Amino acid sequence: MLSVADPHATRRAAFRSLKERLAAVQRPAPPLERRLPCELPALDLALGGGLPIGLVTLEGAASSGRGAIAFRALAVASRSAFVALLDDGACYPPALVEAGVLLERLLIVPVREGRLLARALDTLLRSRVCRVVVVRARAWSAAIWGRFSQLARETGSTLLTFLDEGVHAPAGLPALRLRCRNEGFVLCGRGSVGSAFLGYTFCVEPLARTLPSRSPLSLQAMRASERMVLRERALRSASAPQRAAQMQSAI
Amino acid sequence: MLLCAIVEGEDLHCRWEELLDALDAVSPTVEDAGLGSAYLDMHGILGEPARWCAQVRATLAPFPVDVRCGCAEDAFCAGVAARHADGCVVAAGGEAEFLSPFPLSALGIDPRTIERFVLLGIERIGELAALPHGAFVRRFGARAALWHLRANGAERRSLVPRAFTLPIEANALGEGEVQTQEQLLFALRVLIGRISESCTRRGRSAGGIRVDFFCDDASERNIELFFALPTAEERAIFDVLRARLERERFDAPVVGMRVRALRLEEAGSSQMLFVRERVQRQDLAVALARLEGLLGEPVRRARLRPAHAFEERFSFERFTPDLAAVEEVRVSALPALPLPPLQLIAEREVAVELRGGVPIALGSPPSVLCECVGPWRTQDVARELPPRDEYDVALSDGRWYRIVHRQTRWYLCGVYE
Repeated sequence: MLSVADPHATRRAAFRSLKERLAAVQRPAPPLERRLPCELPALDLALGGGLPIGLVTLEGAASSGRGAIAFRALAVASRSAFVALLDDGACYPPALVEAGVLLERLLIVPVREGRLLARALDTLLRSRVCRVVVVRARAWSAAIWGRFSQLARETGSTLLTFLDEGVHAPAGLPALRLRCRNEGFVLCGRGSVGSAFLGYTFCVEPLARTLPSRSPLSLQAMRASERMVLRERALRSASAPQRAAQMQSAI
Repeated sequence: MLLCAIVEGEDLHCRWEELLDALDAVSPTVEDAGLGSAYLDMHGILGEPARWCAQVRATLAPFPVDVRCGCAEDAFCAGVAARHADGCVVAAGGEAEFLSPFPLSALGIDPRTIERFVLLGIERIGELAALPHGAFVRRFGARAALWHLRANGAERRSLVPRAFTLPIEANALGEGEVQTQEQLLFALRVLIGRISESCTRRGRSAGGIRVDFFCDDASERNIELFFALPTAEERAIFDVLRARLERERFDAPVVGMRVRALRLEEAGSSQMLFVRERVQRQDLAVALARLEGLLGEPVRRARLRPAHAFEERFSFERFTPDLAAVEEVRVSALPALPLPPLQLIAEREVAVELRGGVPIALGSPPSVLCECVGPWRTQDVARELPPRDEYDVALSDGRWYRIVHRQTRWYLCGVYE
């Protein structure tokens, strides 16, 4: 029996190994879910990159930090897209500007009646115009919650809803639940005339099955101009080596 | 002599063309100097400046706008006069003297250059006018020549008459009546088709559209809509109009319709390469029209304004889908931390207990305050309002409120979210 060596065997083997190496290099990365980073490193890390698409509920009382997170999301999203706020008369634009929201890209939808609120929200989500929509939730039925959650997912929007006391979203619908709690206040010149409220420390507890970590996170919400005052005070009270180190970290 | 008319009012952009058309009755040469400002050439027109100003005011009286007029031989000087005082007239040869006390910003100089002038001790137009022309222009460049001419009241330029455009409109009158939504939309589609064809034939695109409905009970309804991007596309115009009409109700059959294209512009639109993802421009206009139809009031955009009271430091205006302006938004860095946002509460009187002049309890039954900071006193002297003191107070449940003390009463005004 005559056996003939394949003259191209070596070349074929080299070509096969090259093909395998190329396939390994060019293998498409697993599709990442598009998230909206809050540009707050600790929070983004805890949320796996930022706020997800879909329904996000902000739970907690007033002054618990939920507004700070909602406005932050509006500020970040308004840099690249339109955002919307369904206003029940509480909207205070100077606070939005202070938080970094671009008013030119913010649609303020004036709705006070509950029935109209749901319809306006439905219209807004279906239009696919806004990347982030912020609304104060009402006691909607499970079907309405389900529709909003599905619409937000389908249209690639993040629907941030404030849940006041007595209002609940059905379990399983929100892509993310953020439970906020106030932990303390930062004041300036306490007890004297002209003293000021600078901000507060609050705790955020992300509740979602898919998150890398579900441990509560402590954040601070403070006025921009006042942070400088505090930093200066800290610098003044620190010793020389501490001051140098703080200056270095500030830079 | 030139006359400058400064016009202010709500939704001015919607009726600016109409205002300019009306001003044609005063002078044959009207220059459109941008929204809210027009120059009229009054040479050879009977009368004196005071009469011309009265004529302009009378002409614009039917419109809900405020008008201020100023007259001078020079267009720039007439503009300054109009802004300075209504009916101000600057006599020929007195321009430089009139302009001398005004600040440099009136010349349209950018703030950075003004800072440079201030360092050199030049703060008023009169001081700039006194500088030697040649040396000044060599130091500050070619644009300084115009500033110097204006400061001396010597800018003699001819007005640029605005281009007249023939209206593009289509009517359906006396052709029967419309009773159902389908019939109405069909008729509108036909009319919009004609408008679209006319726009295309003339190489124009419409920035908005106005539809007048004439009903059988002699009532009339007008709807004005504006597009995100001027268009001549039948489909785009119809989509926006249909969205606006979705929840419109007519009490009687419609017996006539008139559709008119507004804000006609040269056709063509700017397109961008390498755009990853963006909102379809007309989608925004459709969404705005649909929301307006649903809510009965337009979607709003906020603007900040200076005011004494914190709750008056903003105003709302209609959200116009003007994406050209949106694309020029300057983006600055976000603060490192989120901020505690204040939200308004419908102002209501609240009971406050004091100790030593400081609030210690709020509401009825009283809730003890665990923190109270303030006060900050503000007083609007111009409006002769009494002074008010603002406090931020915290209840034991952790909520922070903004309360205001006015005369002898206390009001709850805001809450920190």
